[in-house]
Amino acid sequence: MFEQFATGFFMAFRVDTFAMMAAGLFFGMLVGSLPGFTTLMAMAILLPVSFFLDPIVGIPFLLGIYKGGIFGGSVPAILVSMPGTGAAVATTADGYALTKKGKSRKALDIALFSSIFGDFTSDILTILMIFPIALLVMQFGPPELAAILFLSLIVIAVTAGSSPVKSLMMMTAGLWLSFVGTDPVGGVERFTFGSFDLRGGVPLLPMLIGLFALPEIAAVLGRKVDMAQTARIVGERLRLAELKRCFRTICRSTVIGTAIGIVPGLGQVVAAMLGYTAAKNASDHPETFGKGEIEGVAAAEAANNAVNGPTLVPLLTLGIPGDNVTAILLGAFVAQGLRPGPQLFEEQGATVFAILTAMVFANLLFIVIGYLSIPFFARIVTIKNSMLIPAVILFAFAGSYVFRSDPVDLLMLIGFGAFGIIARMARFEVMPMVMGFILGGPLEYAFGQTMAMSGGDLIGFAFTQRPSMLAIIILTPLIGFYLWRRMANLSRPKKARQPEKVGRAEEGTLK
Amino acid sequence: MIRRHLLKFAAAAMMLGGLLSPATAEYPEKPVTLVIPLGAGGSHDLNARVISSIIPAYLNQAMIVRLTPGAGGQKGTQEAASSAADGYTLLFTHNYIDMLQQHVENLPYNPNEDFVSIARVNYAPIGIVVRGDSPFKTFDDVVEYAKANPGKLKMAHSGNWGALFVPAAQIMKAKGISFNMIPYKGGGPAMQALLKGDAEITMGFPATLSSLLDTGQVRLLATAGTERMVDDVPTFEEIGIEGDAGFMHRVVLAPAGTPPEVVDTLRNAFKALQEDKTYVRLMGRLGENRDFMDGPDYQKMREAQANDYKALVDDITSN
Amino acid sequence: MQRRLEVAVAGSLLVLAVTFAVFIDLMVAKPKTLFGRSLSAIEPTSFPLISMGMMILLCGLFFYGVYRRSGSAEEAADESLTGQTNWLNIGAFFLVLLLYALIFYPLGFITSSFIAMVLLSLVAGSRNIIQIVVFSFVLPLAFYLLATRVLLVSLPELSGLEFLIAKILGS
Repeated sequence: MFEQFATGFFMAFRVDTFAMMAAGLFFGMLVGSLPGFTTLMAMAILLPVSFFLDPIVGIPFLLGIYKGGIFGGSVPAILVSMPGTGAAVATTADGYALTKKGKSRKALDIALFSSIFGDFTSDILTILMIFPIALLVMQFGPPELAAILFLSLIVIAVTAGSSPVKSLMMMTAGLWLSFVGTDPVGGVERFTFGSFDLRGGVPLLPMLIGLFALPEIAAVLGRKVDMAQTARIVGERLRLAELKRCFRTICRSTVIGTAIGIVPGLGQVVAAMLGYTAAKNASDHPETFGKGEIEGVAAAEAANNAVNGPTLVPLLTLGIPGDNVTAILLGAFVAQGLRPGPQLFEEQGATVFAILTAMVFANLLFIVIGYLSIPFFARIVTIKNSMLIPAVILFAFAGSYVFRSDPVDLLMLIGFGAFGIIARMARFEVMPMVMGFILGGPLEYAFGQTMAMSGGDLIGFAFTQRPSMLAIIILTPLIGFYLWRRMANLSRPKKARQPEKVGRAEEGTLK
Repeated sequence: MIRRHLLKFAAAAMMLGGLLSPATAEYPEKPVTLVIPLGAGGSHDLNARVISSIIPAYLNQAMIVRLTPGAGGQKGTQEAASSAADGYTLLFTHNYIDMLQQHVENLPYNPNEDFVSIARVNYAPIGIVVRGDSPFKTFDDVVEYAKANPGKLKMAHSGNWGALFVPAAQIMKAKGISFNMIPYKGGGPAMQALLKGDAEITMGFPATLSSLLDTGQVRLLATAGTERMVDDVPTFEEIGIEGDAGFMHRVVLAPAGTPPEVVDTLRNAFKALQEDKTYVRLMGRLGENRDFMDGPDYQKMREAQANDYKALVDDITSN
Repeated sequence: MQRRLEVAVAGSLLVLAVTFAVFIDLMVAKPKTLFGRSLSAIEPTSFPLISMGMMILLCGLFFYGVYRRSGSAEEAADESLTGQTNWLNIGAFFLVLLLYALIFYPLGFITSSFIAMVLLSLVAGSRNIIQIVVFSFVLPLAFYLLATRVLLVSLPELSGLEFLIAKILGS
C-alpha cells in the first residue's frame, strides 16, 4: 500500500497534469461565477475531453473544474449579492456587506484562502483515513439524515436573525414553498392550483437571485443621493493578521464541513450554514455577523469546501456515486478503464494515489490562480451603476432561465424580488426562508423513507434499530433552546461593547 | 475571407427576408437542441454528451443539450412536445417517462400522438441484486420469503415508476408477491442502502456493478432479457418474467409533424453514428451497449409498451 | 411604518396558513395505492398540515410579542430602504423587469435583452445614448454566443436570428 502511495505521489508530478488542472481550475472558476451555469454543467460538457486524455491528466482536469467552480460561485455572491447555489447563501450575508463597505477584494481573498484551506485539509484527511471514513459513511441512512436535517433547521432558525419567532415564521413559509409541485415521497401534486408550470416546483435559482440580489439593486436605484457615493473602491488585499484572526474559525468550519461530507445526502448547503452559525455563536461579537465580518465569509467558505473530500469516499471505495458531481467523476474513471470499487486500490493503487495527489496539489495551484484572478473580478464593482445594473439583470435573467428553461421562472424571479423588498422593510430575515425551502424537501423525503423502513411503527423502530436518530431528535430542542438563550444574552448588552474592537496589527499584506 | 462572410451574410439576410420554411432540403441550418427531461450528471446526460460531441460530423451542425428536469420528466417532455416540429428540438428520454407515465399521471401532452421516434440509442438491462451475505441464494428464495411475508421485504428503488420501480412492479405482478418499496434519490443511493443493510433487495445495471460483483459484496439473482449476461445467473425469462421487462431504452424522439425528410436526415445521422470509431470507443468506455434500433422499429415497440404498461398499472394500482 | 408592515406580513401568513389548512384536500391530490398499500409511506398532507399548525402557533407568539412591547421603541430601521427611498425609480425598475420577463421568450434573448438593457440604463441614470446602445447590443450577443457555442446550453431565440448567426459563423 505504502509503496503504491509513494509511486503514485511521484507519478502526479507531470507538466501536462498541472497544465490541464490549471486550465480546469480557471475554466471552472469562470463558469462557476455565472449564476445558473453550474459547475456540474461545466463538468458534464468537458467530460468527453477527459476521455481522450491520460487518466492522470483527464481526471485531475475535471477535479480542477469542480474546485474552481465552487470558488467561482462565491464571486457573484460577494460582489453583487447574487448567490448562484444554495451553498453560497451563507457567503452572501457578509461577503456583500464587505463589498458595500468597499472591501470587496478583502472578501474575495478570505473566501479564496478559507475555501482552499477547507478543501486541502479535508482532501488530506480523506486520503489518510479513506477506509475508516468509508465505514463511517455506512452508519448513516435516511433516519439519521432526517434527524440531522431537523436539527440543522432548528439551529439555523434560532441563530439567524434578531427574533427567533420571526425567523421560524419565515422558515415555515420556506417549507410551504418546498411543498409546491409533486411531493417527494408519493409523487402526487400539491399546491399547484392546477397549473402545469408549478408541477415542477418552485425553482431555487430565481428564488435566490430574487430574494438576495434584486432588493440590493432596488436599494441602489432608490437612493436619492448621488450615485457616485456607492462603494466603488476595491479596497486593499487581505492582511496576514486578519487571516490569523480567522484561523480558528476556518479550522472549526473545516471540521464541520468534513463531518457533514461524511453523512450522505447533506451536502454543502448545510455545511456552509452550520459553519457560519457555529462561527457566529462562538464569536464574542456575534452582532457584527451579517454586517461585513470577514470571519463570516471564512466560516461559510471553509465549511462548504471541506465537504468535497469525504463525498469522494463512497465513489472510490464502493464505486457508488452519492451525487451528480461524483456521478460524472464515475463516468470519467470508468471511461479510463478504472473501475472504482473495492479492488480499485489493489489493482490500480498507484494511478489512484497519483490522482488523489494531483487533487491535493490542485488546491495549491488554485491559490496562485485565484490570487492572480481576484483583482480582475474585484474590478467589477468599479463599473459604474448605469452599466453594472443592466449587466447584472442580464445575467440574472439568463441564469434563471438556463436553470430550467422555463420563461415562467422569470416571473417568479420578479415576484421573489418584490417579496424580498417587503420582507426587508418589515425586518424579516429571508435566509431562514431559503433554508426552509432547500432543506424542507430532503427532510420530508428522508422522513418518508424512515417511515417506509419502519413499516409503520416509528417509535419501536427508533428504539430498537436507530438509537443515534433517537439521540439527535431528543437533543434537538435542548440545543435549540441553549443557542437561543446564548444569542439573546450576547446581543442584549450591545452598547456596552465595541463592535469593531478587532485588533489590526500592521504586519503587511499577504505575499 | 471577408468576401465569403459577406456572401453568407447576404444569403442569410435573403433567407430571413424571404421567410423560407426552416425545413428546407438543407436541414439542419442551425444547431439542434436535444432536450433531456432529467437532471445533470445522470446516465442520460453522460450519453448525450458523447452523442453531442460526435454527431456534428454527421449533421453538419452542433447539437446543444438542454436539461429540463422537473415533475418526474414531464417538464422537459412537455417542452419538447410543444416546440415547433421543425427538427431543431429533439427529446432524449427513456421508455418509463415516455410510455408509462401517461397511465399514472394526468399529462399535459399525449405521448402516443405528440412524438415520432428517431432512434433508440441503446438500452440498459437491469439485474436483481442482493447483498453478498444475504440468505437469498436464488430468485426463488426471494419469492418464497415474500410469499410468506407480504410487504415485509425491503426493496430500495430509485423513485416511483422509475427504472428500478417498474421492473420490480412487473416482478410483483408476475409472481403475485409484494415488497416494501422504499424510495431513494437515484440508483446510487439505493445501492448504498442495500450495502449498509437498510434494504434487502434492489436492482442495478450489471455494467456499473462489476466491481462490487467481483468482490462478492453483492450477488446477482437474475438479469433482464432472454440471453444470459453472466453465465450462472438466470434471465428474467428463465425465472418466469416475460416480455419487455427490465430494459431502460434510451430513445431520441421528435415532435410529431416533423417533415419526413428531416426525420430521415436525423435517423440517418444516428445510424451513421453507430459506425463511428470514436463513438464506439466512448460508449464502450461508459459501459453502455450500442444496441441501436432504428426509429420505425422502435415506434412499433413504443406502441406495444403503451399497452403493456397500461395493463401493468391497471392491474396493480388502485386509487 | 415598519411595525405596520411587519404586522401585515405576519397577518397574511396567518390567513394563508388557515386557508391552506381548511382547504387542504383541494390542494393535495390523493396518493395511488400499489397492491392496496399506499405508494407513499407518509400522507402527502401530513407535512403541510404540521407546518400550517406551526405557522398558526408562531403567528400567535408573534402577535403576543407585538401586543406586549407595543409601547417600546422600534428597532433600528434598515438603512438601505427607508422613507428616504425614491420609490418611483424602484417602480420603474420593476416595470422594466416585468416587460423583460414577458418579452424574453417571444422576442428571443438578444432582442429582449437589448430592449431591457437600454431601459435599465436609462432608469439607472445613464444618458450617453451611444454607449447605452453599443453596450446593450454587444453584451447580450457575446453572452448568447458564449452560452450556446461554448457552454452548449440553449437560450430562447427567434429562428430567423439563429439562422443568421449560424450563417455568419459558418458551420
